[in-house]
Amino acid sequence: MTNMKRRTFLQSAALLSAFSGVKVARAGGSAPSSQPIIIDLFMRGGMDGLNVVPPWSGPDRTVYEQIRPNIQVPLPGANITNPVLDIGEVFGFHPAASGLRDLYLSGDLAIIHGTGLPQNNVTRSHFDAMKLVELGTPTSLSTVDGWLTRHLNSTPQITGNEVIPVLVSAGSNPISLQSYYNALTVDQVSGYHPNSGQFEAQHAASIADMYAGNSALDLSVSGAMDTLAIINELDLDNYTPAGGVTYPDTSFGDQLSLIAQLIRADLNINVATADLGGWDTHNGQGDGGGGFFFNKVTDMSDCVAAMYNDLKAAGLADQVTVVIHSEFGRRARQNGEGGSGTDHGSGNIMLVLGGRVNGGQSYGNFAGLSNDDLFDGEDVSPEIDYRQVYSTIVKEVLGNPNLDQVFPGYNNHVSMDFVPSDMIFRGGFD
Amino acid sequence: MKQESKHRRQLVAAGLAAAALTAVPGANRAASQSTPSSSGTPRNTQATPTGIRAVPLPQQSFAHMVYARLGYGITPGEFDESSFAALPGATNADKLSHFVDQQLAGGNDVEVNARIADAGNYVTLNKSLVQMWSDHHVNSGSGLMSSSRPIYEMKRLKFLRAAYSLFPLQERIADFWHDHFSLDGDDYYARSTMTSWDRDVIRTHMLGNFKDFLIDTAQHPAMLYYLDNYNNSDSEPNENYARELIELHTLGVENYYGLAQQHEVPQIQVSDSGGPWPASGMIQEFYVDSDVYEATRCLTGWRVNDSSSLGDTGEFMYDDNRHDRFQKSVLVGGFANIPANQQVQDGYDLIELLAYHPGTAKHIAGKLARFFISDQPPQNVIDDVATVFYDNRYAANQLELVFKALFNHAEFANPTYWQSKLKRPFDSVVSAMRACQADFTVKPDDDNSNTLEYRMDDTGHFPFEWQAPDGYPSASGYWMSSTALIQTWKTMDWLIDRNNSGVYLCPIRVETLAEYQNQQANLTPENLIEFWMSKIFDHSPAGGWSGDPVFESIINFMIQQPSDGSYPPWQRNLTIPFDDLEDNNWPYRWHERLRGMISLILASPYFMQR
Repeated sequence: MTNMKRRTFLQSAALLSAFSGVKVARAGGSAPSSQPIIIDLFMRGGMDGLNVVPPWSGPDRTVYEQIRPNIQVPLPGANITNPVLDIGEVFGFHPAASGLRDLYLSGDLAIIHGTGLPQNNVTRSHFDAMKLVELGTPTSLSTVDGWLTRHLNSTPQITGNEVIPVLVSAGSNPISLQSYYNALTVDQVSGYHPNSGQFEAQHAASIADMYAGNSALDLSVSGAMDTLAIINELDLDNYTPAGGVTYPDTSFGDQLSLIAQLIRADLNINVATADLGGWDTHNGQGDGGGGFFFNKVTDMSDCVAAMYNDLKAAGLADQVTVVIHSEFGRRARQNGEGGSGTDHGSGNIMLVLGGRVNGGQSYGNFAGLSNDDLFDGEDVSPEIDYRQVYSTIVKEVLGNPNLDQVFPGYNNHVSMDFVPSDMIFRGGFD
Repeated sequence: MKQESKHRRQLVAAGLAAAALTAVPGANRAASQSTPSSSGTPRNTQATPTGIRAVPLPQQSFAHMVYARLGYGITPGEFDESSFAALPGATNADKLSHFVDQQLAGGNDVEVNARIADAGNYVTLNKSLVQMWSDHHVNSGSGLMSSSRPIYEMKRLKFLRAAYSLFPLQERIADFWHDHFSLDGDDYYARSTMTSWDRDVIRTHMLGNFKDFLIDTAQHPAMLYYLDNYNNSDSEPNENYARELIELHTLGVENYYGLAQQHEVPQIQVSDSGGPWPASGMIQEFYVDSDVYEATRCLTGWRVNDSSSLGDTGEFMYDDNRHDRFQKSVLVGGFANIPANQQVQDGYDLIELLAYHPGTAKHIAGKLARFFISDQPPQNVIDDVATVFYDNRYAANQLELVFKALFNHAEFANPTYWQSKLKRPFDSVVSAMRACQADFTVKPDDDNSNTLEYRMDDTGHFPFEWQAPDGYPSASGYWMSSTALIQTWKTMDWLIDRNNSGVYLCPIRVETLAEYQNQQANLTPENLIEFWMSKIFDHSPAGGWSGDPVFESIINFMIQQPSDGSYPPWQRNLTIPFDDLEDNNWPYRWHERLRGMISLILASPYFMQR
């Protein structure tokens, strides 16, 4: 593991902190690094994309109302509390997604319709679907490393000198980072020490000494000790978001706030991930655009908007690309005539957000909701291989041309063209 | 609808895929493809790990291995070298066999029972399901009558039992099945019935017959609600439970053939007959989505008696008005093997098909081997255990035979796999309580227990709080995150530090002073570490611990210079004033150093690996 800069950072921070509670941060006026950053947000449980971005008009709206009589998001009208948000297109946004809608209208957010696993590899198992997506190999569950791991190992944009190349704002690493041992993985930063007090430094040093080998556990402990040191050196308890942003007081809000905070601290983050679970709405999804799903979408939308607006106000919009996705979509039809939820499906939306995204537009392919248009007679059709979306980002935003290594077996990539031509990565930001 | 929990775990969160799937059948499940390692010269190439394992405990004894894997480690006076040596039998294998028999036979768990009685506030343990439903669901109040009192007690009791049971193997087995049939303990129906779930379902059947086990899991209100089958009806089919019943509880996703049609699935010959079994004996080797849909239909009308017009007892009920009465086809290539108008029998037929399917035997055997032996166990132990599972599928003690086959298997004793798994946070903390002889009755409404819960929650491994139906991951890789490691160590350190008016939960100082009372000149850092490592690992290598890498790391901690820099570092063989240790005197703070030293021993790979 090469992390010279991390060592240097820790040493200098340790020295400086002896004199003051120094913050090694962008706010201090140091020259910011300019590397592109992907923030991958996994909506676990199978997010019902058809209700996040529901049909607003046209024949799909008619079918939508027929096949989802109890759980449709209604159009505006008398006595309608939570109508679809109009964006002047055939689709609108869920009423709880006003934050995302605003980002769409401001041109920051793009909707990609009809994404998913390749049709021959569709699975309705949560656990397999997540693995196939995160491993980046839809034909194999036994790949040893995650797709983000392979991106990190193959991108020319990482020098090996980063303080924190990867931040996981959660308790455990996602499968997309399988076999990567250098992530800072943390879900709360207060009191983060195995034995705080007058002996804490030597305590941590002794643990590090006991795990000095080269096994997965040794490397993990080594990463944990670095995490410890970094967290103890940064003043993370008092964060002021930029632009007057307020984060929702939820776990997801805390996770995204930490991501923004560490990005703004200029620790050379290239990849950040966080999860929001609870999307497995077989039952009690909510009606009239309200209920459980409304609260879920509120959490997602408000937190993502807060993070993005924070980063944007800090002048970092062009550096970050946020991807919101799930392991699969849900069945197009509600569960039977009395249904209050939806079972596991396949095709779904992906949302891509960033200063280098040509937002305010929809991409991909929505095949339609009529019986013949549904995949397997059941689902919004997965027309767009999810790797095509990621590959567009990896190549054109993150500046890693090695798609054959990031997504082995994925050939003949065609750009989805959601990156403006004047912003496509060309060997460095100016 | 499940309530969103305040906890961080996701409703559906994936574990790291360290458990390699062995069989990936199906036309759309191409053969394993190895990922090319990054070719060329990536500039941030990481070191390639040499394996899961950090340095293993040197010269680990057979007894230590047995207690680490089939319990919660060394417990001085109860589970240690001498207790193992005292077991009947001439060989280690004989002794292991006796130990397993003894553990599975069980008996009066005197210390657990005494501590429960002493706590005095475990009030739900003897309530029947119906009583519990009445007290904590229908007529719930606050405090002892609250709707969450049962889950609250079960969370606390799990620590108490694991730390003090004379039958820790039974606790490990219960832990396995709780994860296998995982449910979110704070869920609406689960929280008020968890005592029954643990007692009437998990512990009643964990050594019994798997089919009977499945039936009772399927019919308990906690599971019926958690996976939505209580709501599964002809007019509103809900496949949540049916899918997980097949994918997680029985056949396993390694036997999923994807979106193919039933008639496209390869078939195998079985000997079961009658009921749903075809006369030809030919059944599908794998399941497809249509099997999930058909299983969903079989289970329509399986619900909870949760309506006042029906009695509101909380018990299972079959509601014919909600049942899809037409014929069904499950796992037999598409013809109807479940005739129309069978009512509740449809569900029993389904469960029998699944419980007796050879794929289920393989799935469960693989999970058991990965849980108790290694993340990557040898295939022969999986095959052998699967055979025992399958051949005894009608036996009342099927699972007892399965566990005996697993633990007495030659590969279980194969040193290649010793210490190859990282203990999960709960196991680390409980084994620390045992190794350090903690006197700590974890119980409801108790400050120390509340703090323990709060700290354990930060580790990500607090009992019954995994929200997805796949259970807490068993794979070591999942628990190697910095959060899980740091928070586990922090929790163990709290255990060592915690005291009430000077009386510590763990008698570290008491034991140390007793040892050195009459040999005060020997109270040196080296001797202290030697004493405690030998005690915690119940073992002293030939030539002593000095020079061992863990020992030397801890020496550096013990002799470090005090914060007042005018005092020098101590020396490894310099006598520590006895009174300074007893009183934690400035500037060296020897009692605090002693406790930090214990924390370090517990944080070492020798303790963290099993």
